[in-house]
Amino acid sequence: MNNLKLAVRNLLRNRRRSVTTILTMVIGMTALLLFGGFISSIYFGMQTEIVRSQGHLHIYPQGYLEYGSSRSTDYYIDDYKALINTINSDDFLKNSIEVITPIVHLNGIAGNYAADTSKTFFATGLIPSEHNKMQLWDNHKLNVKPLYLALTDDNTAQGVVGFGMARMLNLCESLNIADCSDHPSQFLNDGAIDDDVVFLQSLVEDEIAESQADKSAPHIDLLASTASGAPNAVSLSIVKAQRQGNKILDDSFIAMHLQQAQQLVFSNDSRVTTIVLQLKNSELMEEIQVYLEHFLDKGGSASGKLEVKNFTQFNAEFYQVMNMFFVIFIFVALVISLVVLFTTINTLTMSVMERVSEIGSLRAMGLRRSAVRWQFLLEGMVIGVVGATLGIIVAIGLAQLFNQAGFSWIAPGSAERRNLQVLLFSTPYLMFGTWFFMIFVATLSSLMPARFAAKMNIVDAIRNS
Amino acid sequence: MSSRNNNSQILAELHDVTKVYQQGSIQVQALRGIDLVIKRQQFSFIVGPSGSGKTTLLNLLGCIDVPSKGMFTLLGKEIASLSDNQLADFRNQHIGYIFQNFNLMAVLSAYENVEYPLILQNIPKKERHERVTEILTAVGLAKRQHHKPAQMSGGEQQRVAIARALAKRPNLILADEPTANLDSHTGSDIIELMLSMQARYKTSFIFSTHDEQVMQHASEIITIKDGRVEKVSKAGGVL
Repeated sequence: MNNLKLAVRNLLRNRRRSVTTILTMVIGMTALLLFGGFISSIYFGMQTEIVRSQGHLHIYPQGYLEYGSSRSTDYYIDDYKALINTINSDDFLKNSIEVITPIVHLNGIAGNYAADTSKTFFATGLIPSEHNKMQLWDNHKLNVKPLYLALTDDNTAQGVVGFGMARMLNLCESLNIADCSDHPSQFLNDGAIDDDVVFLQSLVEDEIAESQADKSAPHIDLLASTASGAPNAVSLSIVKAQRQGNKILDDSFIAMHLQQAQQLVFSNDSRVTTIVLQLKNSELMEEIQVYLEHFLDKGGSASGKLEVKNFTQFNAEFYQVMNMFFVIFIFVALVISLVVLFTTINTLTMSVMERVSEIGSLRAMGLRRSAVRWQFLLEGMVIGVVGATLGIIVAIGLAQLFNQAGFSWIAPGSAERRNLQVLLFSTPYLMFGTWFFMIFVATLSSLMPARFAAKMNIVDAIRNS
Repeated sequence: MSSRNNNSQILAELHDVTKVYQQGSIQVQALRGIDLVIKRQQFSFIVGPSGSGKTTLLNLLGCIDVPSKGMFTLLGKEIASLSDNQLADFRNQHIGYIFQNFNLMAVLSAYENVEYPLILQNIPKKERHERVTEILTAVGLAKRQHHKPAQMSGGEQQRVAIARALAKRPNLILADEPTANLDSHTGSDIIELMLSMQARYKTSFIFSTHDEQVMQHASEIITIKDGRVEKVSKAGGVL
């Protein structure tokens, strides 16, 4: 007869009460795991979308994130091809990287002068084939549909705009966009425009007239300032509008060929603002980031000091969203643990009250106070282990049912509908952490009744019978 | 040499032992200067009217309570000097209990109830099995060893309690009115059983009782009244 066997038998003494307590724990554990699994799916879903579109790591000129977009003269990576070759020459980096690709971030004014409309834009110049290769990344096996850009490496004059951007530039009809209509023409104001603006517009139109590659597609004109501060313009044939995850980005997004972006900002094809690294595995991101920082420090660069940021650093929204969910998870866990705590305290306190004379007899027979305390702690622990384990089993079953039901949703920051899932196995520490946490709560709950039982006066306890 | 022999025959020695309980703002003096010597291997009875202090004295002798004042030695140990854990260990090694309400563990079978004190003494499983089987056979419950207390009669439960107390082979067994909850016939059987066990295992028994019929078996009767020892009478008793 060991203590564990005794604990189990004592719990079976009042089965209904023990089952109710365990059931409370199972429900709490299941709720917590399902919620945790749901957060996991958001975490991995967001991570997958970010990694696909922006990669894991960005190499920037130092200070670019703080000042770069307003000072393209000072913040650029020169001779980026050599730098990419250097990185690829390192075996550890080469084996860890899935895609390494240069990009240029730029902003300016996009105009559809045929419709007398213009809009500030935020654009990314990229190599379409490499960007589309990044869309295949699915490290977490989420089977999310890749969002390929409708651009090719060959046609550098093509571009893709955000859904909102297309609407604002009156491209809905020409791009045949569903649920999108151009601005009614009667509201168009063809009133007086400043002479300076008219002059600037004519300059741009002259400059871009030659570069219009695809006359059949609608085109827009991009006006930006070069690194030296002079105005520069290019024309893009817009082949598609793609919805972006948030409205501000959707209203200003343009994707274009790297070469076109380089011409617009640097008038030079050796400079980029950022080198994007997509890794094979997210788990190694921090390690590779540190390694890469040392590697770049050691090797030097034609563009001076470079810095490496990971996606939680260059994409603050990811961190904020996940932080919010984490705080909600902790709050829910606290509420559930309080329910479990009080239910278990109640059960074990009643058990102690029913066994006062038995406790007195055992103490009289020579059982130490610590052994009495341990006996009740063990009973709490057994409730915890059984409840938490059953909770895992129930949660796995419900998660399977839920995942097979095929619910879908548009996640925060995402433009595309994707499967709503509960991922229990993607984060092993979620399951084991919650399991241990519940056992800890149940054991903690038994502390008070156990102390009460252990401190009992033997004479009073025996008299109780 | 003679003094050492005398000492080795003494089970318990109490000098001017007082026990005071605090009940709210009232102090209740349960024992008032007890002087008593109890020898080993006797079948001693503590008798007296209700509230006389016999259960308090039994509690002190069983080391589940300590005196408020005075000196009390049991098996040569000054009990007041022992810590709570030392007292528990001392009870575990030397004292067996038989309660009025049997106080068996409801979730354990007769066998397991008897085995439990032996587990507390860290006795190996094989030896435990031998001892439990032997003692259950001795109390006539070999065939009922797998029954739980709820499946047994009062007399059978008290037999299990006796077996439990004896299994660890203590120097002293205390029984607080062990026949009070049994009919007279079963009560007599239980007393007979304890007498035979005492003769077999040479254990000291101390009873508290109201039952004058069972006193005929005593080797010593300690009469308590108003918290004092009124008289100690040697009877024919056992041994």
